[in-house]
Amino acid sequence: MRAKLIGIGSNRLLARVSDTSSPVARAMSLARFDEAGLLIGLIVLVLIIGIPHPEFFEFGSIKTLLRQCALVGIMAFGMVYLVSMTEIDLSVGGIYAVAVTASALMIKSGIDPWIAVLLSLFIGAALGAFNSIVTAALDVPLIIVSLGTLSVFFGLNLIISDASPIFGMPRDHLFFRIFGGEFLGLPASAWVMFAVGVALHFLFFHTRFGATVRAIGANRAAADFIGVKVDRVRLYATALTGMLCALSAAMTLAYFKAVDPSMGEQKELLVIAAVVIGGTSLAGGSGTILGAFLGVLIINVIDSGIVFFGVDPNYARFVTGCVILAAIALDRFVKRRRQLSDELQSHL
Amino acid sequence: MTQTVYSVRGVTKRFGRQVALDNVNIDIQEGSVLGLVGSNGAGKSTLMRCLAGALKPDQGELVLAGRQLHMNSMHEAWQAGIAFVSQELNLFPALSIAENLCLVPGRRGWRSAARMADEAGPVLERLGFRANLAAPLGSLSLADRQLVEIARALLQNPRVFILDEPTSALHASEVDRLHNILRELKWSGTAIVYISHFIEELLGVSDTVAVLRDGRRVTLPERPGPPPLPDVVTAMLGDKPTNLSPTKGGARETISTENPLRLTNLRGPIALSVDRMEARRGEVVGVAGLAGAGVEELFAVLFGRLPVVRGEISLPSGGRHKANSASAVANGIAYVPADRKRLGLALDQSIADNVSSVRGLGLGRDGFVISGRRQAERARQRCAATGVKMASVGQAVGSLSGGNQQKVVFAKWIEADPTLLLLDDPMRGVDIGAKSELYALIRQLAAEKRVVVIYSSDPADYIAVADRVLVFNGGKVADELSGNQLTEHRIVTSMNGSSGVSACV
Repeated sequence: MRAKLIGIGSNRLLARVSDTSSPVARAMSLARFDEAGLLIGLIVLVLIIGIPHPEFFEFGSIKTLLRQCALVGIMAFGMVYLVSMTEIDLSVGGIYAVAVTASALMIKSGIDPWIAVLLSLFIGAALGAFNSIVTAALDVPLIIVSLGTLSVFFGLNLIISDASPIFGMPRDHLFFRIFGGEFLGLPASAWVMFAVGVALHFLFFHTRFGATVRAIGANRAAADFIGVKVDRVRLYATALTGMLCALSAAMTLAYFKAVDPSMGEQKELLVIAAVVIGGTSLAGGSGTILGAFLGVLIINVIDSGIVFFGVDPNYARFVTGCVILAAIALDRFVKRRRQLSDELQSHL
Repeated sequence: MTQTVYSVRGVTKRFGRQVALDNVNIDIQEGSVLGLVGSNGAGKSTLMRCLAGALKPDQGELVLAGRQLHMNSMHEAWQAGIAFVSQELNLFPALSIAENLCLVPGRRGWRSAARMADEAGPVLERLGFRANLAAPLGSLSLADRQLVEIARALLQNPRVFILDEPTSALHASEVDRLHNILRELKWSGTAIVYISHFIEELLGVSDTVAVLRDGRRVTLPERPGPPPLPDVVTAMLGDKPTNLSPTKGGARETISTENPLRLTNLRGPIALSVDRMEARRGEVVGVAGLAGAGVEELFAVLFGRLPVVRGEISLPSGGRHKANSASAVANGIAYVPADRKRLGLALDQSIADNVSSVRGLGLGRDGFVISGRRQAERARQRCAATGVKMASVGQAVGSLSGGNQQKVVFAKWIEADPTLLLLDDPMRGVDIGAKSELYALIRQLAAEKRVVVIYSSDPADYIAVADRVLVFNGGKVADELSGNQLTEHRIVTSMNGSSGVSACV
């Protein structure tokens, strides 16, 4: 039950947690869910920043933080599916860039923003699907194909935008008012991220598609052996990820109401970092949306910390990297300790 | 008179409570070939690994040329002049052939590839191996790689040369060539230990034969000259009672003639050539054969993993056979693979995930939204029916014992309600207790009007579950055994190519 509340659907965990009977054991089990290490790391980071800089806890800075999280988070949730099936799509930043430019250009040319954004979602899905089609046709890993399409998509973005910024969106249109604004005190994009997160969590743990993705990640050869169409599942997963990139792009456009041709660059590294910090193993089979969400939070909290502490910009990147490594180390440390205690228990 | 160069004296090796070798004595003579035979699990590989320094005996001693050996690793064995060519190739596909020849266990430093090529040239020539030594090893066929590994061992001028199943990847002409080389080596004084499942071939090249059974050396009856095949097979198998297992009683009434599995003039892409084969519902049909005899190919063709070159397959489900595993599964074919860890299970996933995988993911019969609770409930029932011993269905499959893992593989296929079951060595890595449960399960599956085709590396399994056994040789059905003819002895002699009647003792 508790595991459900925390939001982890894996059966293994349900079984583990449901054995607990005494209150002590139940309290212990809280620290035993897969994302415990991450949560502890996040809390430590927040305290390190928040105690000397209480303004970090002000509503305004939390809203800014969530808005930044939403942009990477929406894409990261799709990437969880790919990394879980031992694939990596490096072209997500490129898809994001093409989608944001294409929707801005369509809107400028007079197409209704709702339709333009809907079309951009299709473009995102099509670019994602293109990655998988090439991957299947050439029979090489997706990471190699997307290393190429990464540049193809960014190049495409420069061609269609003529490498210059796009302004002059109809700011009063309902689309910009809704998704560029706030809802119940939080940025609309944050709500979109939550909704997408819940939907993709359900898709991952409670549907045939999610189960197939996890089965492929756990043992690709065995999945193929029982008749799972691995190429087709990958096609759906990259199309989904591409569409999520376009959704993230739409949220960006709604908020900034302008497009810069450099948007989206190096986003792929942030997305992958968030997923990996979130505990999705590059060896496949494991992974959670919640973990990726915590990973995104950690990356953005570090960014805010750098601003709050006024770290010399020349050091900022170095510090970010070190803190990411520390967060990963803490997570693995907690997991290893749990594994050890599990092994001890099973020997008793 | 030849001299003993390497002797095994009273060697015992235990793994836990299991005794793998029990007081084994063997003398290996200079300039002679010792053939070592035994069924699976008789202790052959354990003995080999002791001889080659990969394992330390618990008791007893190994004496090389009068000196007692205390080897801690295979490197030390190589340095002492004991070369070992194992079944698993210890080569590097990405490196060139010459570079592979330079990489010898226990030798430091590096000979230039050019010098190596000079030295290796004549040896490879003698092996009948012609290829550019600068080419990557990965470009060679399995048989050629085997020859490279043998050449690498020969380059060390070993005093004792151990070959474990050296011919399983070789063609008949290559086997002859290898045997000629072994004879030459023998004349130059090398002691050779030769292990093979191909008993007839082994008898052809060996001067003496040692038989292992259940970890003990078995003596062969005294006869002048080399021992005949029936003597060796009897020694290997012992005097086991050959009565039918009680689970098979009464099975005959359940056999149905409707929609059998029928192969007509079937040709596979490698060697398979079956003119006619039929397996009826309710029947367990054994398909026996040595490596390369066509059984593996038969399974791969039936399950759509290899194409049908010619001929017809009619399936018990009535569906049309196509060359991909997805449609094989959809056509009601289940395949319990020999390589359980790679193809059978996702070890890190839960028992419930694995049990529901064929039904839910392969066939998509559970719909799009999957209820975890219903899935767990189904898995619990199925595991109870197949006798999986577990704490909960949420447990990772990898934490189960080999026998219980295999029951999960059966459970996941039964979930798909197949009409044809292909069992590829299903008792591999399964303990004795679980084995008898699996025997009963297999009989029950047949009794439920399914066709069961089973291959096993242990002929005793056929006796336990099969109604009849088709023996494959050279891709063809060479022999059919049933009723009183169905004995381990007959199966093994028949697999080794002798016709059933003449091999009768």
